[in-house]
Parts: sequence; structure tokens; C-alpha cells
Amino acid sequence: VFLNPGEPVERGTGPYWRMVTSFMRPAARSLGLDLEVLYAERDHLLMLRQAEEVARRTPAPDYVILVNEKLAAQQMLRSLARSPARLVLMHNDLTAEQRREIGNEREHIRNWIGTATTDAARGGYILTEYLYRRLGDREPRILGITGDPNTPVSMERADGVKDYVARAGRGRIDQLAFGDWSYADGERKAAVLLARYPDTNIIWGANDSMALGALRAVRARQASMLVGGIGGFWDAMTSVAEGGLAASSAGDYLIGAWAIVLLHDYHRGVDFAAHGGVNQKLDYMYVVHRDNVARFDDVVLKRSEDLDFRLYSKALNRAPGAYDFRLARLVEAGNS
Amino acid sequence: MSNLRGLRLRKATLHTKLMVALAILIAVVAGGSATFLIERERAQRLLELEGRAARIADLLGHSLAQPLWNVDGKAIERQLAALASNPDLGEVTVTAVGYGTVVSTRPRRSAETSRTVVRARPIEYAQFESFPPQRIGEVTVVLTRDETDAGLIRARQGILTMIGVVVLAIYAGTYVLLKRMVRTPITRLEATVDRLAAGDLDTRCPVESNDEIGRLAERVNVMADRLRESTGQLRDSEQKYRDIFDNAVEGIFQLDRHGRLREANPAMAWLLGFTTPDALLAAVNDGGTGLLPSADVAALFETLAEKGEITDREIELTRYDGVRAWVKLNARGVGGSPVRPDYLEGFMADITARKHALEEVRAHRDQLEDTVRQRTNELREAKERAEIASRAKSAFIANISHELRTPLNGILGFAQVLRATNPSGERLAAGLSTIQRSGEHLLTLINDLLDIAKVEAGHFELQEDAVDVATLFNELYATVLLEAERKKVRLIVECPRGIPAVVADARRLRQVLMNLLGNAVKFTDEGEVRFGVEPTTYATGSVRLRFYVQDTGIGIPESDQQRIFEPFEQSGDLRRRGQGTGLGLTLSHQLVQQMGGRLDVVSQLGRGSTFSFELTVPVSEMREAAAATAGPIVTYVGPRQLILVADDVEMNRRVICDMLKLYRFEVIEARDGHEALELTLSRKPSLVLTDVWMPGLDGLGLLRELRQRLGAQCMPIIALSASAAEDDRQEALAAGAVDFLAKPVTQDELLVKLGTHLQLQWIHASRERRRVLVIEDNEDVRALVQLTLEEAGHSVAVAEDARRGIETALSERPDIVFIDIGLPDLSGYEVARSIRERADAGMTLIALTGYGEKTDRDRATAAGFDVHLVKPIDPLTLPSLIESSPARQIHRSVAEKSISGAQSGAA
Repeated sequence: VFLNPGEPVERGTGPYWRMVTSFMRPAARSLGLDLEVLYAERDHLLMLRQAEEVARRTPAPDYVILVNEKLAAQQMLRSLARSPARLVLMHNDLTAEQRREIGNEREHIRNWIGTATTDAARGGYILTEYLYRRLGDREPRILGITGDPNTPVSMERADGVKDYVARAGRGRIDQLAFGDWSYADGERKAAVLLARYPDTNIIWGANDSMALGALRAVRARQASMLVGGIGGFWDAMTSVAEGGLAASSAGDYLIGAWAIVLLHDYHRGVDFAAHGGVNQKLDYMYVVHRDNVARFDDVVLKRSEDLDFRLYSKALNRAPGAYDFRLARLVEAGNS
Repeated sequence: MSNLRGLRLRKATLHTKLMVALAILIAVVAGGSATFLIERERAQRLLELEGRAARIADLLGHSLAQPLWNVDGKAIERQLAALASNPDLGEVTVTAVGYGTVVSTRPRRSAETSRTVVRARPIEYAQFESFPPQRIGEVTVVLTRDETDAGLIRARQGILTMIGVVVLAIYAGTYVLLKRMVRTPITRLEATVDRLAAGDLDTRCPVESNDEIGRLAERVNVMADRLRESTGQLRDSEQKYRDIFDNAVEGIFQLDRHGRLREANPAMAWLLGFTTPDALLAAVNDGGTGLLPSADVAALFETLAEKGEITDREIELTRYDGVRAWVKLNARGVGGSPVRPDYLEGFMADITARKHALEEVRAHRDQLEDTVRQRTNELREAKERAEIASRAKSAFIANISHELRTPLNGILGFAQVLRATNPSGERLAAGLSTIQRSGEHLLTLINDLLDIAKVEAGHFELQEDAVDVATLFNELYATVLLEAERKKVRLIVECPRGIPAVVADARRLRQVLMNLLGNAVKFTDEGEVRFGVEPTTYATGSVRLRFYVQDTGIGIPESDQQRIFEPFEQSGDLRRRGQGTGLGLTLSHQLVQQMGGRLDVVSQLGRGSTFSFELTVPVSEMREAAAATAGPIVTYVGPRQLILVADDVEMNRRVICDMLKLYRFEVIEARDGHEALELTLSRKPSLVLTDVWMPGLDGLGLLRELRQRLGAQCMPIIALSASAAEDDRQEALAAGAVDFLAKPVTQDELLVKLGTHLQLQWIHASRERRRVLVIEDNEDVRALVQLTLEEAGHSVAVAEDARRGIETALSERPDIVFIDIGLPDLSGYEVARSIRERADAGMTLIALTGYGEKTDRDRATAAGFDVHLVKPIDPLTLPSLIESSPARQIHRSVAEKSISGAQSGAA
């Protein structure tokens, strides 16, 4: 059972959780798992009631996938602790404080077997890496517009950018501004900042919306510079394809599919704890740019129903070491 | 116009004037201050608005730096929205450098129509602290003056209202205060002064304050007081003189030269037979008769002209009713000149009655003188008759009493003989006692009668000699004690130590005191009889003594208190009447008078009486010296003297013998004259004491016989007699007695006589305080001994039983111990033995016993007793017994003999 904090159809809270679900279904199917999705519709109280209901079920499901939406996972874990079902937390980890209270995986709550989260910094890192490559020999002058400073993922993505700039040993981040993830904000910030730093040649946004807003501001100034986003959603793909955005770090929405893979293997006796630990921070982001956008769109987005996730299973493909969830493998596999 | 107003104002009240002036003054001041305040408020508010604009711009300049740097439009909008509550805010615009307006609030009012205050501030930001601040934008703040202007209008209204209210309050307050403090008091003052002026002198102005008006009111009141006072005085004085005029007993009038009355008082009218002065004036003036004939009037004025006044002129005039009346006239001239006054003013008194009375008195006086002369003669004759009668009465009483006495002597003598010869017949003895008592009573009566007769006849003489007052009181005590005890009346004698021996008639003194004491005991049924003496004043060679007898008896009614001193007058109830002679108090009264004092009685019916008298008596030098130098006589120097005592009554004899033996005399006893004569001749005693009255050879006979036989060799013989009659004394002395002693014989008297006639040199005991212990179970005996000895100045301890007695004796070590033989727990003999065994021999032990037999005495001596006393104890002998006892230490041999003498004497 996947306790989905989102909605079954898009109503304005973004396409994210719908997309996560759309990849989990083929993953379950390809691996022979039976997936039931309960939508909480962004109502964490409803989500808690759903968790209670699942906990009381007989027979209990084998596995329950939870999200720490609005920090509700702690209570859900407690509710489900008395259920024989195994529990997996994904996308948002428990905070350090929550972990102090209820412990880590397989400790106090013995049936909480693992956690799967995205390595967000990699998104910023690989995006910057690509934009540097596109810029060539010119000295990079970077403006960043990240999300609000209270969301960990916005800081992690910015850190990824900084990491690459530091590793590259050249270029300068003129200013990192905090935004509200919206298109309009991205546009206005970009407009003001571009007036302040006329020499800028790279602007990145912590999500596709802000990146597209910044792109509009750039175009309004009739300036020439690279604009990159993170997310890999439809409109970003379209813009990349039309030559608007330079690139977008995509794949975030596959986290649910990866959780299905880990559970499948666990069920088959291959414990992911032996392959990267109980708390998996997964590196799988994929930079979509003008050269691969068509294939990515075609293989991953348009034909998601047909994706075969079996190649990622260690139960099916016995191999030592950590899991390799790089999207490139899926994109290339689809190609073959 | 202004002239008119000035005129009106000048006529207006002080209050109105002040109010108008104040109104103008307040209007000017209030207008000025309102203008000033409003202008200041406007300037201040504008200044504040500008300051506020600058502050907001400064604030935004700083606070917007970070959001603008971060291009955080929402944060900027939030900050600007926070300012929206500022009512002055018109518009705020934030511009970024190179970009233009980032955020701009919508202007609240059209900036063109409002007057505004605009302040702009640059926005600067330093990315890092080391960097110089970079200008990244500008904020422009536009504040409108609408709110300020509206506020100013409200403030102006407030100020004007406030000043208006204050002005009104001040004006109204001043109006009220002026009215209350100035106008009202002044109006009242005015009214008060008006009333005063109108003559209402009691009116007063209330003083309500201490200010000038208050003080003015006070002064007006003071003025009113003075006015009233002086008016009142004037009225009073007028009234006073009017009263004198109206109420005068004498007629007061004013008369002019024509004989007309100008003025007359009521007395004048009455004097002249009118009821009112008006009637008088009408009659005299209008009737034309005039007060006096014109000649008399002229004469009066003539006198006035000559002497200036008319004094005590007596005039006869005719009253209105026609009666002639005599008047006395005093007058002086008034008005005109002294020589010719206009009218005369004078007094007129009616002396008609006096004139008549004087004449009558003169007529009676002669007659009266005759009467007085006649009465005086009558009185003289009556007095002479009375004196003769009195003398006759005295003579008669003397005669009759003499006649009474002769047979009584026989009766008494016979009774005595009977009693002596047959003492065993109890009834006979009782009857004889009655005879004797009756006889004695009759004798007392006769003696009293004789004494009274003597006093009345003026033949009374006092026989003065040295008297020891203390001894006298002891005797009296002993004599009355029995009767007092019989009646269960407590008898108390109060004779302080240190009363000197005095020179007085002891017999008469005793007689008086005895009489008073007898009465006191007789009339007291319960309580006490207290008698005594106290010195009141001492002078050189004399002392004034107050003797008193006080009882708690029936008392004497006040009405009887003087009468009781009359002969045959007795107070109290009839039951007691027969018991007294009725002469006792009369005689006592007269005797005290003879002795130079006055018998007084203080009494309250039912509470008791106190009889007292004071005598000034010379102090007897001999006795005083003796008493002062030494204690009681113990014995005498020289060999033992032999004394013969002759008396037919054994009791009397024994008393004398016991006394003598105490002082180491050897005694021979004789029962009658014959035996006495025989023994005297054979034994040759140093001195003979003989009773006058004895059967067979009586005392006088014995005296004559001895004188005759022995002649010059005859030893001194002292006669004794129970009869106090002076005749006995004279007879005895005539028969050859060297001296005479009246019975009962006191120890001191006896010793004085013996000392004188045997020329003895006495040995006195040192007057020491003895410590005495009395072991006796009978409370009465114990008390008697204790009281007597304490009275004599000794310290006495008592014990009720043998055990305590022995303890006390051994612990206290007294000088003398009285021990009752019949103690309840242990016999007296054993007590004595027990004390003797454990205490030193210096202690004197005295046995108290009811048995006087020889065997008892021997037993007592064997037990260790020194003295054997047979009850009843004679309290009189106790002090001398005690005082002689330590003589064992001083003159041991003498004392031992004395004590053995006492033992044998008590047998």
C-alpha cells in the first residue's frame, strides 16, 4: 500500500505525486507486486486516519510506503508499528529530531525496514556540470534562484551548484537568491538581479517554474545566457526542446519506483541493507538537454506504462555493491 | 453711549463692576491664549508629520535593504503593508537601481489634491561586511497632511471648548465666590447696621469668615455689644433708681414754692392716705389745697435758704382721710440758686406710731420698776427658805442614816459570827451571804447618803496621800472580776506603764471608779467592760490623768444623760432598778467635782456608755523615785523580822500572812484579840497588824491593852479595817495605832507601811523580762496566767499538753515553767521530772494544782517543783511571784526561803 499524500488527479498542487504514482505502477507490475494507492489529497490528518485504517487491516498488507508529509510520518510509523506489515519511508526523510524520538530503522519500530530519499545535491551538480560544458571557455558568472531557505531540498540543490563551481575551479556565483518556487517570482528576481549583474551568463532555478520565469526575464532584456532548471516536467521538456531552457535535471519523480524495487528485492531475500544500508540516499538524476530531450520524453514520459524496472533489481541481477539507479540505464535500455 | 454706560456702571453694585471688569479681562486673556495654543499645535503637528515621514523613510531604507537585495517582493510588500495602518501614509515607492519601481503602494488619496510631505531614502546593501555598501535602490515615502489637518481641527475645537469651559467656570466661580464672600456678607452687614440704627440692639451680624469683612462684622458686633451694654446699664440704672423710688418706705417728693407737688412716690401717697401717687398729685395740685399750708412751705424754703438743707423736721399734717399725722421731713433744694432753689426734694417718714409708742413706754416704765423691786424681794426670801430647807434635808439625812446604820452594824456583825461558827451548813451559809450582801448594800447606801450630805453641807474634805494608780487599778480589777466573770462579760484594764504615783484621795478615787465599774458590769450583759487611765498632759510636778470606764451595755438615752447625775435618778429598765442605790452617780459626780474634775458621759442607746473624768494631780515624788530606780521589792536588809497578824477571819489572815512570807517575814497568827495579846507578850514581834473588828477583844481593845502594858517598849501596831469609814481610822489612831490600813490590803501598801515603821531597807529585784512557759490544758487558766504576766511585761509561751510543753521547755529554756498537775497526757509530776532530768537547774518550776494537802506538796517537791500553787490562782500575786523567782540567781538563799514561804502560805 502506498499512502500517497497527493491527489489522484491534478488540481493545482503540482503534478509531482501523480507522476511518482505513474512510475510506481509500471515498477510494481514489471516486478510482480500488487500496489494499492491511497490518496490523502495533501490532508495529513486524512493521511493519519488512512494509516490507522491500514494498521487495523486483516490480513495486513505485506508492505506500506509512507511519506513524511508535514512531518506526519512519525505518528504513522507508530500507528503501523503494531501491524505485521513492513514499512518503508520515502522522498522525505524523518528529521533529526524525529529520529531522536522514535529511533532509526529496525530499532524501536522493528517493522520499519528502510528509507529511500533522493540525493538532491546531485541535481544541482550535474545541471551546473552540463551548463559549464555548454558555456565552453567563457568565464561563468552565475546567478541562482533557489527555493525558500527553510526547505532542505532547495539548500541541497544550491549546495550541489556550489560544489561543482568549487570543483571546476573557475567561475563565480554573483548572488544566490531565495524564491518561492513560482514562475512570477523567478521572472521578477531575474529581472532585478540581471539589472544588478549585467555580466551574468548562467542563471539556474531550483525548479522548472522559476527557471522558466527567469528565462522570460532574460528574454525581456534580450540578453544571451544559459538558463537551467531542475525537475524535468512536461513544460520544461517542451522549453528545452524549443531551445528555451538550456537543460533541466530530471527524474525526481522516480523515487517511488525505486522504493518498489527495493521492496521487491527485500521480499525476494535480497536485503537492501547489505547494498547501501537501510537509509538509501539515491543518486539517479538525469540532465535533459537539447540533445536527449526527445528520447527522454519519448521513453520515460510518454511511455511510462511500458517501462521495465527489472534491470534495477539485484534479486534478478545479482551484483555486489550499492544499487545503481541511474536513469541513463532506463533511457538507454528503452532505446535498445 | 459710552457715557451712558459709564454712568450706569458707576451706579452699579461693586459686584457688578467687578464682574464686568473680570469678563473683559478673561475674554482678552482667553482669546490670546487660544490663538497661541492653536498656532503652536499646528506647528507642532506639522513638525511631527515631517519627523514621522523621515522616520518611516529611514526605517524602510534600512529594513528594505535585505529584501531588495534578495529581490524578495513579498517581503517588501509585507513591510509596506505593515505601514498601512499609518493614517498619514499616502504612498510608498521602492525602486531598484537599473530596474525601476519594484513595489509601490497604491496612493490612498490623490496626491495632487492633498498637501503632502515627501521623504526619499536610498537603499544600500553590503553583501559581505567587508564590502562597501552598494546602492541598490531607493524608497520614497509620501505622507498626506489630511489626517494632521483633521486632527488639528479637532485639537482646535478641543482647545476652544476647554478654554470656554475654563472661562465659564472661572467666571461662574468668581461670581458665586464674590456673591458669597463679598456681596452677601456686605448685604447682611448693611442689614445689621440698619437694624442697629433702627434700635434693635440685640441684632448681630453672623461672622462667617476671618477676612476683612469678617473682622468688620466682628467690629460691628462689638460695637453693638457696647451699645447694648451701655444702653442696658442706662436702663438698669434708671430702673434701679425707679425701684428705689417706687419701693422706698419713706415718701419721696418734690415740692415747689407754691406748695404744689412735682413728683411723689407710692410711699408718699400711702403716707398721705392716697392709693396712688397720681391721686395724690391730683388732689394736692388740682384740688388747690397744697400739701402744706403755704406758711409751712414758706418756712421750709426759708430753712433751705439758711441752712442749705432740712434735717429731721417733724411736721404735723392732715391726711386725705382727715386723720392728723406726724411726719419727719428731710429735704434739700434743687435748681435755681442755693439761696433760692426752684423746688425742694425730700423724704418724708410717718412717725405717728412712734410718737404714740414713746408716750406709752414712758407711762409703763415707772410701773415696771415697782414690779421688779417687789419680785426681787420675793426671790430673796424664797432662796433663803430653800437654803434652810436644804440644810435641814442634809441634817435629816445624816441623822436618819445614823439611825439606820446602828442596827445594820449589828446585823452584819451577827452574820459574820454565824458564818464563822457554822461554815458547814450550806444553806445557812447561802442565807447568811445574802444577809451580809444586803447589809453591805445598805451600808453603801448610807455611806453614799452621808457623803452626799457631807458634800452638800460643804463639810467634805479630801484626804490626799500618795496613790499608786497601777495598784489601784489592779485592786479594782480583782474586785470586779468575779462579778464580770459571773456575767460572762470581758473585763479589760488599760493602765499603761509609767503612770507615776500621784497625790490624791485614794479612797474617793476608788469609790468613784468602783461605782462606775459596778454600774458598767451591772448594765452590760455581753461584750466587754474596759476601764483605765491615760495621761493627757504633763506639767512640772503634776500630771493630768483621764480616767474612763467604757462598756458595751444598754446605754443611756440622750434625754437621760444629764438627769442621771441627780439623786435617786436611774436609767435603764426597771429590772435593774433595785440593784443600785441610785446615789452612786450623784455621789461620783459630786466627788469628782470635789477633786477638781467633771464627770462626763458619752452614750448611745443600745451601744454602750463611756464615763470619764480628768483630774490634775501632783506627782508623788517618793514613789516616783522608787519606781524609777528599781524593780519590785524582793526582801529587806537585816535579820528576819517577826510579825504578828491578828484577824478573826482566816481568809483575811492568810492573805496578809502569804504576803508577808513572800518577803522573808516571820509570821505569827492570832485568831482574836486575846490570843494576839498573849502571843505578842510572849513572842515580842517587831510589829503587830491587827484587825479592828474582832469578837471578844477587838482591835482597839488590843491596842489599848498593849499600849498600856508595854508603854514605850510597845512595838508599832497597825490597825486594819474592812470598813472604810473615816471614823475607824480616827478611832484606831486615837487608840495608839501607828498607822491604819483599809482592807483589802494591797501588797504595796503593806510594804510601804512596814518599811516606814520597821525602818527597813528594801532589796529590789532587777526589773528583768522573764521568759515564762505555761503548760496547762484549761484554756481559762492558761489565758489568765498568760495575760497577767504579759501585762507585767514578761514574755509568755503556752503549751496545751505535756508533750509540747516538754519540747518547748527544752528548746526555749524559759526562766519559769508553770505546769498543771492534771494534764491529759502526762501528769505534771512526770513533766517536771522529765524537764529536771534534761534541763539545767536554773529553771523555776511551778506546780498548778487543785489540791493543797501536805502529801501533794511533798510529791511536788520530790518531782522537782520549786513552787506549789493551789488554784484558783490570784492574778495579783503572780507578777511578784515571777519577779521574785530570778532572785535565786541574785540572792539565792533569800529566794529559796521566799518560795518555801509561799508554799507554806498556800497551804
